Amino acid sequence: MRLARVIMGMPIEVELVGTRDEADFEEIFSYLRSVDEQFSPYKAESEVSRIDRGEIPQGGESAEMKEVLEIAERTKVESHGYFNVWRPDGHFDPSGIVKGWALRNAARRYAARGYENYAIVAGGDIALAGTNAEGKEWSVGIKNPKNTKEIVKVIYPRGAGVATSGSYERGAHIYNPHTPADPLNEVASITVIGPDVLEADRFATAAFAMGKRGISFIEALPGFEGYMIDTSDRATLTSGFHRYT
Amino acid sequence: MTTTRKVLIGVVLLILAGAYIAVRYFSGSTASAPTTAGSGASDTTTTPATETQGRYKNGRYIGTLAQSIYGPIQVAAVIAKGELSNVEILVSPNDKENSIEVNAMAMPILTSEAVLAQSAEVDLVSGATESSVAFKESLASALAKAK
Repeated sequence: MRLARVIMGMPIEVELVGTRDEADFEEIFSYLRSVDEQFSPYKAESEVSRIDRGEIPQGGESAEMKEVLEIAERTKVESHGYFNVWRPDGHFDPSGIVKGWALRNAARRYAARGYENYAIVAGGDIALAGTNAEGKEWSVGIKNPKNTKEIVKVIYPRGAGVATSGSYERGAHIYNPHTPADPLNEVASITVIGPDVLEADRFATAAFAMGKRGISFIEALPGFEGYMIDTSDRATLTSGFHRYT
Repeated sequence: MTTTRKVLIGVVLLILAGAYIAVRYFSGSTASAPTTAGSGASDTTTTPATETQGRYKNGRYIGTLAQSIYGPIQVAAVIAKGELSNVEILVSPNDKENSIEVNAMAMPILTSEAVLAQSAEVDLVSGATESSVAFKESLASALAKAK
């Protein structure tokens, strides 16, 4: 059974194979709504906005925020500074990892409840497990960044996490920290497949900020594959990407 | 491209060739990274080789800090899956324009293909959604009015 809600400003789809109980879905939707309340940079009373305004002393953040900040710091180091939750205008915006982090947590809740076959989709990020309702591997279509009604690549993640960062996100939390004026207009989208959706999300965000070199970064990262679509309608694939097609 | 830039790229390529040769020389033995001289980057990190078929040992190897007439140059060669996967410009006398050209030339194992619409049916979709684009546009216009 599949249900969708608009949360965090985007449609979120959950498919649970083998259940017809809407209550199972509502638990995840309400968790994601609570994440939005806490982390949305568009909500004045969210913890993110309060940190942004300097209202929370260092060390005074919630446990979840501390966890997100720790992941952000690690990602910043691992991406040689290309991932940064502090924007050049001085604002705090962890949107580049909160979606993947929340989906990973949601998937863990389902796994803990014994669900073996499910998929959660939020914009470019996907957490999935097991097989679809027909017992086959989940198939994922990568959208054409120039025409969101079109699929340009089909992949079978087989349990891996998927995240796509694209130019539609540009201008907010994605930027080149080493050259903030870089318009980041060479890459239309980069899709990263990694060990889980949080890993895929954090490195997809970092890789997009690297422009055309982002795909090389993913190539050098063990355990990750990538598919970059540039603004000239060419795709560049990492050397192991074919194992997911 | 100016003559200065052409010569500079030539020098960088020479250094790269040196790094290539250094990596090949060291790959057959148990020695790890070449040592560095001068004040350039000094840390080396190596990761255990995950496969034995490649020509090199996985890791990141820092070349010497070389002096050109335009200034110091130092590169690092990154080996992944046994092959040269990236060359990082650690110290450059000039700007990033050269490092982008060099990196493009040092990536032999990425493949490319045309982006074409697929007619297959899929279970799930990854990418921009109409509403996420619209959300951002709408918010931006609202914020513009709020200024």
